[in-house]
Amino acid sequence: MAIAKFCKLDLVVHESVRDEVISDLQKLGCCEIIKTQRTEGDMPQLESLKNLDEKLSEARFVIRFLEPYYEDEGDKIARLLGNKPKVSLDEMVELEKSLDLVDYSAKLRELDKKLSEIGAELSKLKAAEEVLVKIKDFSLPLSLLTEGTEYITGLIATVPVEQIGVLKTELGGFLKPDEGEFHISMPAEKDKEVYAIAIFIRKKNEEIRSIFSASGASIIELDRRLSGTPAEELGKLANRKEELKSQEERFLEQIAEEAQENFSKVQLLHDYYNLTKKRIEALCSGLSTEHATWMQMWIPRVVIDVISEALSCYDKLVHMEISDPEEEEEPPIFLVSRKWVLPFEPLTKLYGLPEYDGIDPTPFFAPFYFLFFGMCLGDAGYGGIFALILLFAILKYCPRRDALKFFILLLLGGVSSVLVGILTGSLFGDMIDAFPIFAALRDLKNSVKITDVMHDPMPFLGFSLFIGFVQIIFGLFIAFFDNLRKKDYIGAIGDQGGWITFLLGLAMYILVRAGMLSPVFSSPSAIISLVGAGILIATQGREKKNIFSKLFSGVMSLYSITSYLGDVLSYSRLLALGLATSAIAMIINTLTMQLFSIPYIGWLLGFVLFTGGHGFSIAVNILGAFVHSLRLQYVEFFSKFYKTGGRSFEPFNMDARYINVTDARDYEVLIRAKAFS
Amino acid sequence: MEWGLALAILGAALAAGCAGSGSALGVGVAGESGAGVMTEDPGKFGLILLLQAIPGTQGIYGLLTGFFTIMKVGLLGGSPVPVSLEQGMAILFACLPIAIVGYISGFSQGKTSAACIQLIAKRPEETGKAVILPAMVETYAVLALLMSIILLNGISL
Repeated sequence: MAIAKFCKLDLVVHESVRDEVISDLQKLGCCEIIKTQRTEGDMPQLESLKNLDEKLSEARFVIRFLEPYYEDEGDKIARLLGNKPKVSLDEMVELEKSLDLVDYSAKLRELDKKLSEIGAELSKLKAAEEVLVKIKDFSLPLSLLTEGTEYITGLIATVPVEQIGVLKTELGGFLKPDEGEFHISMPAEKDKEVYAIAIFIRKKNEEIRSIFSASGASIIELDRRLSGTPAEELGKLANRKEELKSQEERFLEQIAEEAQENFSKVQLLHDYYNLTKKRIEALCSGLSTEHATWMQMWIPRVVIDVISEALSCYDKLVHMEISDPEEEEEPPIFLVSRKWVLPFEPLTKLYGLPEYDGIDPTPFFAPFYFLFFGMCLGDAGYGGIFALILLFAILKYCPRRDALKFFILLLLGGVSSVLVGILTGSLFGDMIDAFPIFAALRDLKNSVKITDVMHDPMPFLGFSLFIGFVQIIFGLFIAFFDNLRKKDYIGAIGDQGGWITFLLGLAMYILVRAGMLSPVFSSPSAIISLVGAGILIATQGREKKNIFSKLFSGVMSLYSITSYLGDVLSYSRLLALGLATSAIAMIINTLTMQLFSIPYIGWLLGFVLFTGGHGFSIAVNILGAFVHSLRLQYVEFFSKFYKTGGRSFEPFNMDARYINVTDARDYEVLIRAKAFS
Repeated sequence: MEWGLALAILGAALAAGCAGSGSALGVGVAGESGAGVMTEDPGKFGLILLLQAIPGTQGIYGLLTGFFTIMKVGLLGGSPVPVSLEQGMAILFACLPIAIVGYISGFSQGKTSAACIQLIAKRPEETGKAVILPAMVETYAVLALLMSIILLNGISL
């Protein structure tokens, strides 16, 4: 099993049991509804859909509004990883009856409105305050400026600092002492503008205003409510601000209470409406007459009996028809992997799912990825710590589905590093050799060590290239058998067979020349390579028309050997990253030893460097190990045989955003259990 | 001090200095891009930090080569080893791959990371692919590190 086989289910349901059947299917969660092309006009459930959408948008508003005030008691990380609160459908229905979301959201909107009003007034007050502070030396009531009296009026304006002189002379020249007076505040150090106030007899109003505008000042309209002197007004302002602040606080407290009480309930309702919406959409996907509804869906072949069993209680009110997918149809892709491959599935999904009749590459690359991660990290201490952290995280947070798979994948990477670390004698780099207190362990470490990357990297490099060569040939073999399966014999023998023979022959030849293989193999290897090359020359131009261009393309195809060479050399990163880990660890250990020799505080400094340094090194090297072992699969391995293009299986189920529904079955578990039973 | 030792130190300095500069440029570019994305969505901090950190490895490789070099000539713990002029030059040359490639690939990787940060801003579900693209650039830094270390290993003092 690799890619689940799907078939098409035609379901005809009598109107009397329609809702129950849909609900049962949703609980089973392993059908993907096929949408038929519809116009909006003939959807009978359009009204209730609209209604639901409205409720959903209210729920989203409430969640967004209350979220900042909600103190989460549960574990956020756990929730993020899929460990959500468990709720049954009945509880949801119960809650839906007790809490009217539309009313509740209206109440919150009211609070929201009041809060923003307070906010708006506060900012207005702040602006007024800024002006008042600047002119607080002005000792007359401000009503003189805003309204004036029968004979006297005034104005206030901002004046650019460099225009103060101009304004002063202009006004001084124009205003006679018995006609009015003016007051310009002193500019503070960085002020670009100052406030100027003038009081004068009303009939000079026009002229004074034009003098002000002519000297670059801009006249401000003060708030008419300001009537006392600036000092009095500042006092009033402060009082009002105080009042507003306490009002605001009261509202915020109220909201916080609401959040504590209802936030999780609204989340639950949100999910409830969402699940209901999915159900109605599923109904809409089919065609309905007055008495029956007809729907089509994709179901994995292995769960046919589960579904027919679940629907058997409806007897003749439900009719099922099962058919195989047609040639031109594209069933969804669901990967069914054995337990040991399961953790590697997310990596395949990351690259892209295979086509329906393609190959699931997961079991093929899983062992390689496991090994490569170990080789790139390559340290028993680092791997051990990493594995323990992940084990702890898995036990504490109980992640689900892909998150769990991913965690186990990393855990396996840690285990692999421990194994490689033991074989290469690397535990926190050369810790055992570097610190005298570990002297007793040296013999034990050396007894299981088979190679030392730091002192003699060549064997490890050789192994890296060898395992790379093996993986590339393996990839070609997969493509070879895939072509045979598809009955493309020329493709299999020409494209893959040719290269496999050619590359194997060349590899043997190189080994003979390097003295690692007995010279007896010299001529057989040369013959094998020539046969491979011959196949390539003969087949690689098969699409060309005339004989010369066939031959030319064939010969030119041999040039692709450089790309195979590059692919194999790319695996040298396994050594380089392993070496980098060991070397960084060794440097940390060396520096720690030197710190230890400082009297009194040396041990402390050494300890800090040791833990901090290795902690940093673990983080950096794990990132490198993860990414580079993945790249080797994606770029070097997948390119040989793997084609993506599949569409992920999206079952009609009870997966919700904030909760896990207890009545629902986990489709992944269900399908996998059926597939391997 | 002999010329040989001085050249070895120059090698170590170039390795750590140039590769470190490359990483500094790279991490900088990626960080700028990340800050832009976070003005819209601060919740992506974790992912962005991860992508910003990726071009930082060249600096580590350079540092590694530098340390390797000074340990070889005995400047770090132990007594200095006599280094002839020829040996010193050999060590300097051995440091060049990571110095040059570290600088260039660090910067280029940073630009790729910056672009990938934009990618996850628009399509968060493609994070996996966004991590792979910068790693393609890093290949050459890894290869250069490998070359430098193999060369250093090959020089006998």
